[in-house]
Amino acid sequence: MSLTQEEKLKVRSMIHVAAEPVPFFWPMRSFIHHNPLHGLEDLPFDEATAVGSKIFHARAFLPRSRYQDYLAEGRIDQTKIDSLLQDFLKQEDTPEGLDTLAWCKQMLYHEQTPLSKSDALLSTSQIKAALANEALPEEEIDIETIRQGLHERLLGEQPLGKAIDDLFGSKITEDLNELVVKSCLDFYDEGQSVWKMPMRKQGFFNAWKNLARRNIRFTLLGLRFQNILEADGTAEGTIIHVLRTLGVEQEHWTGYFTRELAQLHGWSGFIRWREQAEDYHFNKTFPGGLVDFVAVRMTLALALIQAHGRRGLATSVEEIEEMINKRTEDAFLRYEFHHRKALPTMAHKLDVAISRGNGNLIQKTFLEYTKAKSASLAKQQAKRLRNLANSVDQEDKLTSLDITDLEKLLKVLAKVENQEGMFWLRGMEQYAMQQLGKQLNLAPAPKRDERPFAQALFCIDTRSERLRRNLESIGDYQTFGIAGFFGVPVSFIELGKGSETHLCPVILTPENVVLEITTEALSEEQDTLTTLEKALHGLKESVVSPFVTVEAIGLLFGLEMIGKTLAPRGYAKWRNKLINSEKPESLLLLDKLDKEQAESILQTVQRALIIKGLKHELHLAADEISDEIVKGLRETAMGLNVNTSSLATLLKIEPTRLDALIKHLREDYRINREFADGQMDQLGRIGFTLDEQANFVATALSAIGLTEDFARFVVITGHGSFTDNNPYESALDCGACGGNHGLVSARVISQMANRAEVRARVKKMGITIPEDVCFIPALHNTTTDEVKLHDLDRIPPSHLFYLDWLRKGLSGASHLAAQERLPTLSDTQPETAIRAFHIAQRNSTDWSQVRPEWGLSRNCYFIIGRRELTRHHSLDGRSFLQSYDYRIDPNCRLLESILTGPLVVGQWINMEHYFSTVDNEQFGSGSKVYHNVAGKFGVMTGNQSDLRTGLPAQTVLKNGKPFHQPVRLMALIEAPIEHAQLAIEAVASVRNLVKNEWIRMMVVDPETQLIHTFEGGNWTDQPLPTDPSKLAETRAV
Amino acid sequence: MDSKILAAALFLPLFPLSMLFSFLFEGLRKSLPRIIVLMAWPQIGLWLLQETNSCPPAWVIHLALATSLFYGFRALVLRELTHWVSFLAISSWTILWLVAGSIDQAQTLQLLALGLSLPLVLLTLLGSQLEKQFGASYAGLYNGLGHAMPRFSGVFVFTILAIVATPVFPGFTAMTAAFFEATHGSLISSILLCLIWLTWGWAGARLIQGFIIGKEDHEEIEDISRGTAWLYALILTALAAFGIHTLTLLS
Repeated sequence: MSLTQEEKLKVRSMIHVAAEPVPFFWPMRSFIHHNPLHGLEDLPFDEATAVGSKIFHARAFLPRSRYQDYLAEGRIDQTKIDSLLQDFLKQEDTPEGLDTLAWCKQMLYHEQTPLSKSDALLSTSQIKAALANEALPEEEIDIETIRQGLHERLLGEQPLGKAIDDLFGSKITEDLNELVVKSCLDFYDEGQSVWKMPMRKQGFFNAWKNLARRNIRFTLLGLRFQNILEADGTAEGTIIHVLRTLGVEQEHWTGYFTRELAQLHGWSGFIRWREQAEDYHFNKTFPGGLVDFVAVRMTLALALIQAHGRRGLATSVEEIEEMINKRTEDAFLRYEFHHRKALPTMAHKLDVAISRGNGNLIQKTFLEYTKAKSASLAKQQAKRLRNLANSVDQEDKLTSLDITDLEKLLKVLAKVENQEGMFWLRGMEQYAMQQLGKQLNLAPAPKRDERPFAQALFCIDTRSERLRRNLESIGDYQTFGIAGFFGVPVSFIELGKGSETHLCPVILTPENVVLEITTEALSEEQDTLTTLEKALHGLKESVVSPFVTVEAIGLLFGLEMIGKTLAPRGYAKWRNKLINSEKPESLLLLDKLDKEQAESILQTVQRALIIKGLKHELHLAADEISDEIVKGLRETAMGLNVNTSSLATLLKIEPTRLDALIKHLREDYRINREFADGQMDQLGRIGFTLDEQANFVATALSAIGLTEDFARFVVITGHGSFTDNNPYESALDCGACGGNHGLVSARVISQMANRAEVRARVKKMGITIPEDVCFIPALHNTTTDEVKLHDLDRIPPSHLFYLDWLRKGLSGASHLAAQERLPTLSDTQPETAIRAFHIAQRNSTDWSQVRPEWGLSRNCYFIIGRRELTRHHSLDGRSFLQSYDYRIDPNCRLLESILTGPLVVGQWINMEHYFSTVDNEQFGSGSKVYHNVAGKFGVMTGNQSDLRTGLPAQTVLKNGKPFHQPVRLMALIEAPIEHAQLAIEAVASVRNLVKNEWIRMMVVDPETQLIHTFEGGNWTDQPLPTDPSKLAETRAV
Repeated sequence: MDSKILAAALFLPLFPLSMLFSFLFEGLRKSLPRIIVLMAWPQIGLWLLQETNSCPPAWVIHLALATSLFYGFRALVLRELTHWVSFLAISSWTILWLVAGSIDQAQTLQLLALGLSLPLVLLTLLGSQLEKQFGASYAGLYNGLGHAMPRFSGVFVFTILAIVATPVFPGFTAMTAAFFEATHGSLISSILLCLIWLTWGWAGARLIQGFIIGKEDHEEIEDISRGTAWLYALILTALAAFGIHTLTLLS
């Protein structure tokens, strides 16, 4: 079979369309919080959750009992749910004479078990008879409805392997997933395994195909690939061949692919991300996209189905269809039994009937079973209805309902249960909105007589809120919230590393590179340690060496184990002292290079490489290599000098040897014109022009409203997490910095803002930064709440007197924040703030600690406005705080950029937490305890599973119950409503998120004192609620 | 054949007489008669065996091993708990034919039989708990009980371990005694014993997988009370102590 280009393209595009609901999964080195239903964001939230639940076989809301707990704790606004129920019932045909609202309320607020069950065997007349305690009427089973149900569940887009499992109790899907995961682990490995898969450069499908023919395991499993792989050598052709062999109709192909991809949505999401990350090293070297993935999966699926077919199971859609049509009773009993829907009391009979396969027995069992099940369902339903009626004191009315009214009642209750998730969610959100509304303070900030002692910029991250509040409470500090990349998208090349790290939200792509350089020589000791570490890892990971390693050096690891386990804090301190893990002092290359500077850098690098080459190739000592030799070799290799005779003389080698050396330099050391041009382009990306720097500084300061009254110190605080033995460490880092630490971004903006030339340009833009203002970068360790100042050697001597005061203020705030946070982690209240801080430090170094911090759990609000708005109230670390003053943003540009970047990232974080909480197994990643790192880019549960994509249970659950309260992000903008609406409408992505209610948008208008809320497609307004306690406080002040 | 041996072959059930026990036991609907049968059946068998005053012939021992292996193997595919108990009862009691050759004291033998029956009694009680909750005790139909009924699951797992002759439980003593006896006999007997032990462990693991492991997807269900769990734990601890005691009697 050979395919035309058009057919290939069609399959490719189908797969890419099919993969849209599968969210990206970024490598865990820089964990990106994402919305698991990102691909469905063009749908309204309630519709998307319904679709997503079906695709991913997951729950989109908490179980009812959890919401009832929240209701009992007063965290849900019951009046909101009541009013939603009333509105809902107005549109429904409800039975006469019954207080349906009371029924619905009773059912939601007090009954734990869902009432309605959709089952073809459930009949209203039987329920009616059961309610009246009469003998159940014999009803003829509607075989056509049963057949139709089986068609819907087993055919169409349903993967055939799954349908066979449902009918025959096989484990094709389980085996298929296992084999696909194994294949993916082999191919996508990024350095974890010692033995690499061969031929990876040819792509996933080709490399796998090559191996599959010789894989003994596949042979032992009875999988035969010869015919499948020979039908068409290409991935696209193989996919088409498999689908045609299975008999899947073309109209279902896209949906079929979606179902197949969703079976391993972690792997699919990773491959999907990898495929579009064109600069990703592993993707460039070992290409393997979704088409390859689907081809491997489909090939394995067909081989597995055929292997089972040889044991008598169905092998095509036609066979399944025929079974459903001609042997409906058999198919139904099989589905009930293997899908774990069988009535327990009859499970054994079903098992026997299915195993024997005797037509008469099946017919007899079918009749007996359907009768028993419908009776059981009717009795169960009647019992629940009676209980419900009893609770609302309407038992008599229930029994007197005729069939039509009973049907109406059941229909309404079923609809309410179908939508109850949204009712609860809106109730929870209403409560949260009211709580926030009560805390808002629209009064302007009081005028100051003197400038504050220090101002501190923190990331908008929810974890900054506690620290900011405590810092403000202990001294004359002003704090501001800004996305942790401080508005400067940077591609960073760390000291000693060759790769670029993007320090900005993943929705942006940085154009400028910042290079870290040091004045100190890199120590040989460091290299030795790195080599030793690599050697140890190598010993650990190869096949035989671990046996020897344990005997030889196991004791050393034993000591480390004891230290890390018994005294993690002390051991970590001692270890750091011993190996001096501190990085050398470094500078950031921030300024744009002119051509001359770039050429000079390039020449320096090339010279260093030539010296290295000469040492290696000719074994020359450093003092034997003169500048003349290096210059001559460089120019020759670059094609600038063609006279090599003098060089040969200088090097005292034969001309042929010289030619070989030059070839080496050109090919292995890449000293050639082409590579140099590429490097010049790269060097051109380094740094920012002065105008760019001034622009970034001015924009960052304007965005947060800091345009005057600058303090002597402006602390720019990035944040990061420091934990041990935690693959999810980067999930705790700064989302605005692409899942990395925020210190570099803080250093970049500080370095820019401290430059006199930049300040001069910023002044022209209307912001005067006094000369004595010093911007200091700092890092907030969110695990301990410690704030460490950096680049202190750049502080003017005149400021050093105040530095200690600043340090004391910051450490005091750190300790208080830790004291406030610790009880949620350990259920104990530390006696003193310093004790709390020490416990937090221990958590940071304890390798057995599965929950070193809560991260962004419980995030709820995104407040865009002045600090004064919420300064006097604790937001319990639940709010992203973005400083913004609409008065200095008349054309909404700043607000638009806040909505485009930080708000969208906030929504991703919020949705990641939401879905990981409501269904931690499917959308989250389950317990951390069972996690193993896979391929150095993800984690799996146990030794083999789908890549776990969401947040672990330890991040969102506590004692098995939600710690994170799953609500949608409630964004609040402090601005006149027209101003806010203008900005929202201008940013299409945000407008859709608001309209589809992925974000609950509120606008508090300081001019009208009204709070506007977007709900159900409309803006509604109401006066700002007042909290009596707040009024009392204000009076007292 | 001695009629007493024949009668003993019904109560320490040898194939095909084992089918009678299986039929009778599975026909009992209530827990109490099942418990009585489980406790009394092997004791009657042992009493009859002792009444013969002679060692059973070699072919009976071979038949006992074959029966034990057959029922152990059949238990691998069983999902209904009562059937499983019945098959494991047959498979473990037939081992007593071998043990009878290595233990002279009737009392020790009876204690050992009791030790084999007690875990089966516990499992029957646990099964009745499941029947009360779900209507039937059927593996694979409502797995994931580990999350939903943690106390029940803990007790269930240890009971299964006791049944499959895990060390310190009386079944282990019986198996050890059988091995002593088998080593005096043929290599094949020892291999058969190993296979029997393997099938027990395997069948037990499958049962645990069918009930305890997996994703919890059922509505709110009630776990056994703390007190009941402690009671089960106490009985299992006593069984373990009893196992150690019988092991010392062997040596």
